[in-house]
Amino acid sequence: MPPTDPRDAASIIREVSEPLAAIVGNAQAGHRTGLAAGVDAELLDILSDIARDGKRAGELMKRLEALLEKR
Amino acid sequence: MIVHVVDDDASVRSAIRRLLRSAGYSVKTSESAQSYLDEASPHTPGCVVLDLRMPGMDGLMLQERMAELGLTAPIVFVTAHGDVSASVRAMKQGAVDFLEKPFESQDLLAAVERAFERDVKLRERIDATNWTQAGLQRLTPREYEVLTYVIGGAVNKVIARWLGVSEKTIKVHRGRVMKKMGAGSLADLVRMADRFGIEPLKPQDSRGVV
Repeated sequence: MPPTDPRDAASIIREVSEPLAAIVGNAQAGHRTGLAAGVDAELLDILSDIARDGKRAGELMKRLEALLEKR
Repeated sequence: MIVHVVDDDASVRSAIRRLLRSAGYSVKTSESAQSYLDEASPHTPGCVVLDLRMPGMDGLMLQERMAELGLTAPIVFVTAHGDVSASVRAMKQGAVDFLEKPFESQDLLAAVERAFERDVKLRERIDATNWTQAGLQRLTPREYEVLTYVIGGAVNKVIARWLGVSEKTIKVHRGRVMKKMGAGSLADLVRMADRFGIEPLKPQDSRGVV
Protein backbone atom coordinates (compact mmCIF):
# COMPACT_ATOMS: atom_id res chain seq x y z
CA MET A 1 0.00 0.00 0.00
CA PRO A 2 1.19 3.58 -0.63
CA PRO A 3 2.30 5.48 2.52
CA THR A 4 -0.52 6.99 4.51
CA ASP A 5 -1.37 10.50 5.49
CA PRO A 6 -0.84 10.40 9.29
CA ARG A 7 -3.92 12.53 9.82
CA ASP A 8 -6.06 10.04 8.00
CA ALA A 9 -7.36 7.47 10.49
CA ALA A 10 -9.04 5.41 7.81
CA SER A 11 -5.85 4.93 5.89
CA ILE A 12 -3.97 3.92 9.04
CA ILE A 13 -6.59 1.26 9.69
CA ARG A 14 -6.10 0.02 6.15
CA GLU A 15 -2.37 -0.03 6.57
CA VAL A 16 -2.61 -2.03 9.82
CA SER A 17 -4.19 -4.85 7.85
CA GLU A 18 -0.85 -5.42 6.10
CA PRO A 19 1.17 -6.52 9.15
CA LEU A 20 -1.94 -8.35 10.41
CA ALA A 21 -2.15 -10.27 7.13
CA ALA A 22 1.55 -11.05 7.42
CA ILE A 23 1.13 -12.23 11.04
CA VAL A 24 -1.79 -14.53 10.23
CA GLY A 25 -0.18 -15.77 7.01
CA ASN A 26 3.18 -16.46 8.64
CA ALA A 27 1.55 -18.22 11.62
CA GLN A 28 -0.55 -20.45 9.38
CA ALA A 29 2.38 -21.11 7.04
CA GLY A 30 4.42 -22.01 10.13
CA HIS A 31 1.66 -24.35 11.27
CA ARG A 32 1.53 -26.18 7.94
CA THR A 33 5.31 -26.39 7.69
CA GLY A 34 5.61 -27.52 11.30
CA LEU A 35 2.89 -30.13 10.90
CA ALA A 36 4.68 -31.57 7.88
CA ALA A 37 7.96 -31.63 9.81
CA GLY A 38 6.38 -33.34 12.82
CA VAL A 39 7.21 -30.67 15.40
CA ASP A 40 5.95 -30.60 18.96
CA ALA A 41 2.17 -30.23 19.23
CA GLU A 42 2.64 -27.35 21.65
CA LEU A 43 4.46 -25.36 18.97
CA LEU A 44 1.62 -25.99 16.55
CA ASP A 45 -0.85 -24.74 19.16
CA ILE A 46 1.19 -21.60 19.65
CA LEU A 47 1.10 -20.88 15.95
CA SER A 48 -2.65 -21.54 15.76
CA ASP A 49 -3.23 -19.13 18.59
CA ILE A 50 -1.16 -16.42 16.92
CA ALA A 51 -3.24 -16.81 13.76
CA ARG A 52 -6.52 -16.79 15.68
CA ASP A 53 -5.67 -13.62 17.56
CA GLY A 54 -4.36 -11.95 14.42
CA LYS A 55 -7.73 -12.59 12.80
CA ARG A 56 -9.46 -11.29 15.88
CA ALA A 57 -7.48 -8.05 15.62
CA GLY A 58 -8.51 -7.89 11.96
CA GLU A 59 -12.18 -8.13 12.91
CA LEU A 60 -11.74 -5.29 15.40
CA MET A 61 -10.14 -3.17 12.68
CA LYS A 62 -13.11 -3.81 10.40
CA ARG A 63 -15.46 -2.62 13.12
CA LEU A 64 -13.38 0.50 13.65
CA GLU A 65 -13.39 1.16 9.93
CA ALA A 66 -17.17 0.85 9.82
CA LEU A 67 -17.48 3.28 12.71
CA LEU A 68 -15.31 5.81 10.93
CA GLU A 69 -17.31 5.51 7.75
CA LYS A 70 -20.46 6.43 9.63
CA ARG A 71 -19.13 9.80 10.70
CA MET B 1 3.18 -24.08 -12.52
CA ILE B 2 3.95 -20.92 -10.68
CA VAL B 3 2.05 -18.59 -8.37
CA HIS B 4 3.23 -15.03 -8.86
CA VAL B 5 2.62 -12.81 -5.83
CA VAL B 6 2.42 -9.09 -6.54
CA ASP B 7 2.23 -6.87 -3.45
CA ASP B 8 4.16 -3.77 -2.46
CA ASP B 9 4.31 -4.78 1.23
CA ALA B 10 7.42 -6.89 1.91
CA SER B 11 5.99 -8.63 5.00
CA VAL B 12 2.81 -9.66 3.17
CA ARG B 13 4.80 -10.86 0.15
CA SER B 14 6.99 -12.98 2.37
CA ALA B 15 4.09 -14.45 4.39
CA ILE B 16 2.07 -15.34 1.29
CA ARG B 17 5.17 -16.86 -0.29
CA ARG B 18 5.76 -19.03 2.77
CA LEU B 19 2.12 -20.07 2.90
CA LEU B 20 2.04 -21.07 -0.76
CA ARG B 21 5.32 -22.94 -0.48
CA SER B 22 4.07 -24.80 2.60
CA ALA B 23 1.23 -25.98 0.38
CA GLY B 24 3.70 -27.16 -2.27
CA TYR B 25 3.51 -24.38 -4.87
CA SER B 26 6.44 -22.74 -6.66
CA VAL B 27 6.34 -19.02 -6.03
CA LYS B 28 7.71 -15.85 -7.60
CA THR B 29 7.24 -12.43 -6.08
CA SER B 30 7.14 -8.88 -7.42
CA GLU B 31 6.83 -5.65 -5.48
CA SER B 32 5.06 -3.77 -8.24
CA ALA B 33 2.78 -4.27 -11.22
CA GLN B 34 5.49 -3.08 -13.58
CA SER B 35 8.06 -5.51 -12.26
CA TYR B 36 5.51 -8.32 -12.73
CA LEU B 37 4.94 -7.25 -16.34
CA ASP B 38 8.69 -7.18 -16.96
CA GLU B 39 8.89 -10.86 -16.04
CA ALA B 40 5.55 -12.32 -17.12
CA SER B 41 5.06 -14.50 -20.16
CA PRO B 42 1.83 -15.88 -21.67
CA HIS B 43 3.60 -19.24 -22.00
CA THR B 44 4.18 -19.79 -18.30
CA PRO B 45 1.31 -21.73 -16.73
CA GLY B 46 0.19 -20.43 -13.38
CA CYS B 47 -1.77 -17.73 -11.62
CA VAL B 48 -1.33 -14.41 -9.85
CA VAL B 49 -2.06 -13.28 -6.28
CA LEU B 50 -2.45 -9.55 -6.67
CA ASP B 51 -2.72 -6.68 -4.22
CA LEU B 52 -5.38 -4.17 -5.15
CA ARG B 53 -3.77 -0.97 -3.91
CA MET B 54 -0.20 -0.32 -4.91
CA PRO B 55 1.67 2.88 -5.75
CA GLY B 56 1.93 3.51 -9.48
CA MET B 57 -0.09 0.91 -11.39
CA ASP B 58 -2.71 -0.59 -9.07
CA GLY B 59 -4.19 -4.08 -9.20
CA LEU B 60 -7.19 -3.23 -11.38
CA MET B 61 -5.00 -1.40 -13.90
CA LEU B 62 -2.66 -4.38 -14.00
CA GLN B 63 -5.61 -6.70 -14.60
CA GLU B 64 -6.64 -4.56 -17.59
CA ARG B 65 -3.08 -4.33 -18.88
CA MET B 66 -2.72 -8.12 -18.67
CA ALA B 67 -5.86 -8.53 -20.76
CA GLU B 68 -4.46 -6.13 -23.36
CA LEU B 69 -1.16 -8.01 -23.48
CA GLY B 70 -2.71 -11.48 -23.73
CA LEU B 71 -1.41 -12.50 -20.31
CA THR B 72 -4.08 -14.97 -19.33
CA ALA B 73 -2.96 -15.92 -15.81
CA PRO B 74 -6.05 -16.08 -13.60
CA ILE B 75 -5.98 -13.56 -10.74
CA VAL B 76 -6.80 -13.81 -7.03
CA PHE B 77 -7.04 -10.30 -5.58
CA VAL B 78 -6.09 -9.48 -2.00
CA THR B 79 -6.90 -6.14 -0.46
CA ALA B 80 -6.52 -4.22 2.76
CA HIS B 81 -9.87 -2.57 2.35
CA GLY B 82 -13.39 -3.76 1.68
CA ASP B 83 -13.72 -1.69 -1.46
CA VAL B 84 -16.99 -2.99 -2.84
CA SER B 85 -16.94 -1.20 -6.19
CA ALA B 86 -13.36 -2.35 -6.83
CA SER B 87 -14.27 -5.94 -5.97
CA VAL B 88 -17.24 -5.87 -8.33
CA ARG B 89 -15.09 -4.50 -11.12
CA ALA B 90 -12.34 -7.04 -10.47
CA MET B 91 -14.82 -9.92 -10.62
CA LYS B 92 -16.52 -8.55 -13.73
CA GLN B 93 -13.13 -8.32 -15.38
CA GLY B 94 -12.61 -12.00 -14.69
CA ALA B 95 -10.87 -12.36 -11.33
CA VAL B 96 -11.10 -15.75 -9.62
CA ASP B 97 -11.68 -14.26 -6.18
CA PHE B 98 -11.27 -11.19 -4.01
CA LEU B 99 -10.03 -11.61 -0.41
CA GLU B 100 -9.73 -9.07 2.38
CA LYS B 101 -6.64 -8.86 4.58
CA PRO B 102 -6.05 -10.45 6.97
CA PHE B 103 -7.43 -13.46 5.11
CA GLU B 104 -7.84 -17.02 6.31
CA SER B 105 -5.07 -19.05 4.64
CA GLN B 106 -7.46 -21.81 3.66
CA ASP B 107 -9.45 -19.29 1.64
CA LEU B 108 -6.37 -18.11 -0.21
CA LEU B 109 -5.21 -21.66 -0.91
CA ALA B 110 -8.66 -22.67 -2.16
CA ALA B 111 -8.77 -19.64 -4.47
CA VAL B 112 -5.28 -20.41 -5.82
CA GLU B 113 -6.38 -24.00 -6.49
CA ARG B 114 -9.38 -22.74 -8.47
CA ALA B 115 -7.15 -20.30 -10.33
CA PHE B 116 -4.85 -23.13 -11.39
CA GLU B 117 -7.78 -25.25 -12.56
CA ARG B 118 -8.98 -22.33 -14.65
CA ASP B 119 -5.52 -21.87 -16.14
CA VAL B 120 -5.27 -25.56 -17.08
CA LYS B 121 -8.68 -25.50 -18.78
CA LEU B 122 -7.88 -22.32 -20.68
CA ARG B 123 -4.60 -23.73 -21.95
CA GLU B 124 -6.27 -26.97 -23.00
CA ARG B 125 -8.81 -24.97 -25.00
CA ILE B 126 -6.12 -22.87 -26.64
CA ASP B 127 -4.10 -25.98 -27.52
CA ALA B 128 -7.18 -27.70 -28.92
CA THR B 129 -8.01 -24.71 -31.08
CA ASN B 130 -4.45 -24.47 -32.40
CA TRP B 131 -4.44 -28.19 -33.14
CA THR B 132 -7.71 -28.03 -35.02
CA GLN B 133 -6.61 -25.00 -37.00
CA ALA B 134 -3.36 -26.71 -38.00
CA GLY B 135 -5.27 -29.85 -38.95
CA LEU B 136 -7.70 -27.94 -41.14
CA GLN B 137 -4.86 -26.39 -43.05
CA ARG B 138 -3.42 -29.83 -43.76
CA LEU B 139 -6.58 -31.28 -45.32
CA THR B 140 -6.42 -32.00 -49.04
CA PRO B 141 -9.20 -30.45 -51.16
CA ARG B 142 -10.89 -33.85 -51.43
CA GLU B 143 -10.63 -34.43 -47.66
CA TYR B 144 -12.13 -30.99 -47.07
CA GLU B 145 -15.02 -31.82 -49.41
CA VAL B 146 -15.65 -35.09 -47.58
CA LEU B 147 -15.58 -33.16 -44.30
CA THR B 148 -18.39 -30.85 -45.45
CA TYR B 149 -20.55 -33.84 -46.43
CA VAL B 150 -19.81 -35.76 -43.23
CA ILE B 151 -20.76 -32.88 -40.96
CA GLY B 152 -23.86 -32.42 -43.09
CA GLY B 153 -24.95 -35.89 -42.03
CA ALA B 154 -24.32 -37.84 -45.24
CA VAL B 155 -23.41 -41.52 -44.86
CA ASN B 156 -20.32 -42.97 -46.54
CA LYS B 157 -22.34 -44.84 -49.19
CA VAL B 158 -24.06 -41.68 -50.41
CA ILE B 159 -20.84 -39.67 -50.45
CA ALA B 160 -19.10 -42.48 -52.36
CA ARG B 161 -21.84 -42.63 -55.01
CA TRP B 162 -21.76 -38.87 -55.39
CA LEU B 163 -18.03 -38.69 -55.81
CA GLY B 164 -17.92 -41.79 -57.99
CA VAL B 165 -15.51 -43.71 -55.77
CA SER B 166 -15.74 -46.76 -53.55
CA GLU B 167 -17.17 -46.64 -50.04
CA LYS B 168 -13.79 -47.82 -48.79
CA THR B 169 -12.12 -44.76 -50.30
CA ILE B 170 -14.56 -42.52 -48.43
CA LYS B 171 -13.86 -44.39 -45.21
CA VAL B 172 -10.13 -43.73 -45.70
CA HIS B 173 -10.73 -40.02 -46.38
CA ARG B 174 -12.99 -39.78 -43.36
CA GLY B 175 -10.40 -41.46 -41.15
CA ARG B 176 -7.71 -39.05 -42.33
CA VAL B 177 -9.95 -36.06 -41.68
CA MET B 178 -10.70 -37.24 -38.13
CA LYS B 179 -7.02 -37.85 -37.46
CA LYS B 180 -5.78 -34.55 -38.89
CA MET B 181 -8.43 -32.59 -37.00
CA GLY B 182 -7.86 -34.54 -33.79
CA ALA B 183 -11.56 -35.43 -33.59
CA GLY B 184 -12.60 -38.42 -31.49
CA SER B 185 -16.12 -38.59 -32.82
CA LEU B 186 -18.55 -37.14 -35.34
CA ALA B 187 -19.85 -34.84 -32.62
CA ASP B 188 -16.31 -33.50 -32.05
CA LEU B 189 -15.93 -32.92 -35.78
CA VAL B 190 -19.24 -31.06 -36.00
CA ARG B 191 -18.27 -28.86 -33.07
CA MET B 192 -14.84 -28.06 -34.50
CA ALA B 193 -16.26 -27.30 -37.93
CA ASP B 194 -18.84 -25.03 -36.36
CA ARG B 195 -16.16 -23.14 -34.44
CA PHE B 196 -14.36 -22.44 -37.70
CA GLY B 197 -17.49 -21.55 -39.63
CA ILE B 198 -17.32 -24.50 -42.04
CA GLU B 199 -20.65 -24.97 -43.74
CA PRO B 200 -22.13 -28.47 -43.88
CA LEU B 201 -23.10 -29.50 -47.41
CA LYS B 202 -25.33 -32.18 -48.91
CA PRO B 203 -23.79 -34.09 -51.81
CA GLN B 204 -26.38 -32.73 -54.21
CA ASP B 205 -25.82 -29.08 -53.27
CA SER B 206 -23.33 -28.05 -55.92
CA ARG B 207 -24.27 -30.29 -58.80
CA GLY B 208 -27.86 -31.49 -58.58
CA VAL B 209 -29.60 -34.53 -57.15
CA VAL B 210 -27.56 -37.57 -56.10
